[in-house]
Amino acid sequence: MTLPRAWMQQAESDFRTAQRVDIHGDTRSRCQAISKYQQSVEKSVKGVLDKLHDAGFTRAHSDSRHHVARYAEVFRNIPRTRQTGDLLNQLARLFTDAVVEQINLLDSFVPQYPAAGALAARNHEYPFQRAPLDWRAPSDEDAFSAGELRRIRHCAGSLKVGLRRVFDALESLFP
Amino acid sequence: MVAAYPDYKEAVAKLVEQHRKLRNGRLHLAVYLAPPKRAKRDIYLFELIEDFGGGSIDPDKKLFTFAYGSTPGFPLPPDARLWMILTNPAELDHAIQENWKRLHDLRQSRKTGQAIVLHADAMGKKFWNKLK
Repeated sequence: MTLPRAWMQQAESDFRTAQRVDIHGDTRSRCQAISKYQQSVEKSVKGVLDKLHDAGFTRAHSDSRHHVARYAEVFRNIPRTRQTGDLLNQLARLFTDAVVEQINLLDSFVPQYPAAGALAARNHEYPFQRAPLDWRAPSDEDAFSAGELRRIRHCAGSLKVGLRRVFDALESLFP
Repeated sequence: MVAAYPDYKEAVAKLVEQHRKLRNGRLHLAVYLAPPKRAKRDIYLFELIEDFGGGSIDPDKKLFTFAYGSTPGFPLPPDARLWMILTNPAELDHAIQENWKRLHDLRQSRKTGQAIVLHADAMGKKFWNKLK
């Protein structure tokens, strides 16, 4: 299996897992669902990026960082034609401002240790702070809102389908 | 002189053979076609792939269709484009039942004898017959 295909397969698995833990009314498991949706988006984006790299479209390729909103600009800026049916136009159209905004939000939820003196930021995995002595857990009932989860679910779902289609098309063009 | 259907039969057959190997038994049907109201200089290839798009069904009821220019593996003259229509069995089944708009090109090509089946397994034949 190629690396891009492995990314896409794992993205699919992450999305299915997200759906399993995305239980309506279970506010304490929202962080788990968001975590898997974020991983699904990250891997789908990396899969398409690495396929584009292998096909010679871009010098950029995936790295160890989890944040992928930066790659949306790569997809939007790949030279392409004016024809709407062009595959690369279809790829760029997936990354609307609203979708990029959601990806930025998902990126911000990736856990990371805070800089010295800073508060631990809200994320889907590690304890975080609202104030120096006010620690919260991602599984707190109010850590993530129903609206946030709904928007993330929608974003991850549309990217999973759209990016997988573009990926499969790229595989057909550049076997 | 612009090449037109079916001049690219051999080149498209080679591409389909690559796809057959790539998809490892998951390519069910591949048809080289010439939809009546489309640019004659372009090439059209329809493929039914087992897990295309992760087996998803397009909520907008559109078969995934895209165009692309010359590639190292499929060289084309300037201005000519390769159009591909890709779907999976679940989606095609829905599309046939609900008579999605983009099936029209496939049906018209078949009806007018402007379609060459380059690969079809048992499932592919079954679907191709449904597109009569």
